[in-house]
Amino acid sequence: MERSRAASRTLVTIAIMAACVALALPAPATAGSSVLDLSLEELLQVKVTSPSKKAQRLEDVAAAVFVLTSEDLRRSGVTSIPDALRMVPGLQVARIDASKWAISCRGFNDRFANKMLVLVDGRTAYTELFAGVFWEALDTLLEDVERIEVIRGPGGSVWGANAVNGVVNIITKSADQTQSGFAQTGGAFRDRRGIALRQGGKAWEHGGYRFYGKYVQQDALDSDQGDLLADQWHNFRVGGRYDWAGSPQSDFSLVGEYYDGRFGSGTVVPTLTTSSYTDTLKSRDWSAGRSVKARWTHRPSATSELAVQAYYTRLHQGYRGLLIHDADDVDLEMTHSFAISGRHSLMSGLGYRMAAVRTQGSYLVRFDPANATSSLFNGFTQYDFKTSQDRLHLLAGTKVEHKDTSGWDVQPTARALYRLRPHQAIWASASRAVRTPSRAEQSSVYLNAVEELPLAVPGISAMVVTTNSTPDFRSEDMVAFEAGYRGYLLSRLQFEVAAFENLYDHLRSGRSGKAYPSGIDGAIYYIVPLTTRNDLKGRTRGVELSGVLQATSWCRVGASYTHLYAKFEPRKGAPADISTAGIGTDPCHQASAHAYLDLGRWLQAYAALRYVGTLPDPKILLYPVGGVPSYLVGDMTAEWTWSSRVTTVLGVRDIGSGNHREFAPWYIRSIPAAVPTSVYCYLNLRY
Amino acid sequence: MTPRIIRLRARWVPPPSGRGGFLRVPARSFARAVILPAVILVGSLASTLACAEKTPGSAAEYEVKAAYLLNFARFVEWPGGAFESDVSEIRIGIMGPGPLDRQVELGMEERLVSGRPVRVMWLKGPEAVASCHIVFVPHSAVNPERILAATAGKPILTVGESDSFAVRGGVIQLYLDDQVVHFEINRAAAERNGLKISSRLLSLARLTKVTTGPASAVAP
Repeated sequence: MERSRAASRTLVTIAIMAACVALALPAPATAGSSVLDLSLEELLQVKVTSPSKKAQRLEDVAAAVFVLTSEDLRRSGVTSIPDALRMVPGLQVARIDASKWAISCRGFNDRFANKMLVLVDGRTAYTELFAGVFWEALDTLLEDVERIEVIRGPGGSVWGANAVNGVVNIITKSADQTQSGFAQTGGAFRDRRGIALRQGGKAWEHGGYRFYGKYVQQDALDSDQGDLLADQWHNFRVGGRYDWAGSPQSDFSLVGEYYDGRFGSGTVVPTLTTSSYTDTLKSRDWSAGRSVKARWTHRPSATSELAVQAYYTRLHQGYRGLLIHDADDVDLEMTHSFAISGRHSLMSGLGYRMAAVRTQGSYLVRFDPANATSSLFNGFTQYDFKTSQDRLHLLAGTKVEHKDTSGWDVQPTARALYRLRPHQAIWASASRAVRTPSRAEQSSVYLNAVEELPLAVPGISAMVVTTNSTPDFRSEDMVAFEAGYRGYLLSRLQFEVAAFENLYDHLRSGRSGKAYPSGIDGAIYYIVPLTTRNDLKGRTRGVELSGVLQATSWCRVGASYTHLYAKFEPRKGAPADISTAGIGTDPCHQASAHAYLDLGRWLQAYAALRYVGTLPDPKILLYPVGGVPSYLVGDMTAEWTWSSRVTTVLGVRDIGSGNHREFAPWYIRSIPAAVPTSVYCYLNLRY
Repeated sequence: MTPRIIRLRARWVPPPSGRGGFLRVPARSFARAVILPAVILVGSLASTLACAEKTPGSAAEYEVKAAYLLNFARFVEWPGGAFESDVSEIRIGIMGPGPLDRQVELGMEERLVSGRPVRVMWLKGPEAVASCHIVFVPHSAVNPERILAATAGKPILTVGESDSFAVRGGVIQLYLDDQVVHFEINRAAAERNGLKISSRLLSLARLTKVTTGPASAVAP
């Protein structure tokens, strides 16, 4: 019954969306206005936008860098950022339910993972609440994404706090590059589907704009037990960008967006009112936000650049029954880079960030004080040296940061790259990075669990475990050592390997305090208070291999493998039985293979296989969580080009998944969904 | 028109319970599925109208380069026998995994050059150049020297973008100067391939200074 209702709703929505797209198409197809019709004289006036400039510079970086290009995004048929990140070797990406994701880099994966920094056009997609990313709130029109740069390893010396294990940088195209119209509609039957429109144009001299709208909805998924979850969601988003290049020396950009989404959630919560002491909280949650960012770049000479950026974001989320919060962030940043001489260059910057969080808690989670504002100052400098012919490239820099809740932190780095041949290089680095405390760690009270007593005590019914945070929770820190090789082994085989050893200290842990009896609602319970501490240390090490082979002019294949080993132990002086709920759960082995095929003039295909190893049981002391079995799934996409304006994408995602689940959350115990095999179809129009 | 509107309205009466209505779609979700896309639609239509004329001041690099290829085809004269007839197609070969978007390639094929249809082909190796009138050698091409050797003396217009493409014997080299694509012509190479380049093209080009000739380029 529920199913057929969902199906009919799907059909109605798809029909309406298709009708909207059909109507939105400009009736007189704007043929003849393309660059291809310009004369020689006109062509000599056109400035080209070369998106690859910065991407090429990244190839010289002494770090493990991976770039997803707009072509990769288009050809793989992905329509969401988490799905795109599945293509990046070395990232841990797990879907929890229809809207929630756990994504991390080099370990510590959780829905509330806090060691990877995500930037959208230079704006931090970060919440002060738990120092991580709400992936359900992060989206954009992927057609407008120019590239996604992923740096595995610490980036704290430039990006600051939270760039501990990796940085994901989502860079959208400038308005110049999106002057045409774009419309997309379609989707999968039980997975995402939606409609997206973009329109660009000229405004004032040397200026261009675009704006877009996107509406996505999804039906509820099943749990791996076969129960229909209530995790259906829909999200509406509009945004725009304006770019102005008034002179060759300076340009200005203004980016803004607004979104509003409704999400269903199912969460297992502790309670005193049932005999099993747990209950399922089904809620309709919301997540809305807006942001506006302005950036001005000035290049007084060919070798120097000054950039000033300011943005404001607001996030308003309600997880009913758990927490309602809203957060306002203001961020100012200035960077300056210049070449001292041909070989030496210096980059430095200053930043300020203010984050205000207001919360409305529940009996499960509450913040004390409920509202708080924190501010952070930082400055960084980075010195760059190259020998003649770029044979050796040395880089040293540091960031100094002050956060009013955790004090000073210094995050230095030293990197070296040596070129063996023009297209082969080895590199090594040593860096320190920190993760500043979140509000959850410094000022929250969380009800972990209600458990039966191990020994029956007359008159006392159960024990109630709570986590109380401490205001003196300090930054977690890490020292990382990395080395790697990157290059062309044959003229067609590009190969990359990176190895790392990360040493962590002062990681979050829970220390149990003295239990005491307390009366709640007329019954007496033992209260077991856990206190958030920095009692844990540990190490992770791993190897990431990836290779891409241009086998023939019509076939490009690639493969990657990631190994991750992690070990944690209490710090000296800490008790042995501390709770280690902050370290996440990660597969020891991950592997993938993909192929891009050009099957004739009209058909392009993409196929991929992904293997994710077993997620170990996190073994938190309170309640069983369990591990997640390994899985091997495939994705296939074909894009049929009807004309220069119309393409159809047909694909299958998660082939052979056998309704597996990908993650077992334990902090907020969302009920994980089984990821289904989904067949999708999209119609794209470029006009 | 009127009856249709009435019929739609008649259907839009929600059941007494107030939950669900049109085809069992809950009212709120229906509002979202219809009203919000409609907002996008109106916005996009408005902006389509607002930007009726488009004279691009900037464009993607390879779209500009593709436009140059079409223009070169217009202002270069091939020797007799290079084409089967006056209206036979002009074949543009792109070497290796080309940087041109599929959409751009198809856009090229939708246009006529001096009355000839355009055909864009991908070339797998230097041996495939013989059937083309224009060969574009992008940065990504694996072995530009062998392509130049294979085209030398044949009625083929070679267009490249690497730094010394024209000096090494390519006919036209595209280069970037202050973000604008310019082109350099090697007249000796054009003559060797039997191509006549119009004075209009030459007047806009930078000409390759011939020193010792392009012999060194033929080495593999």
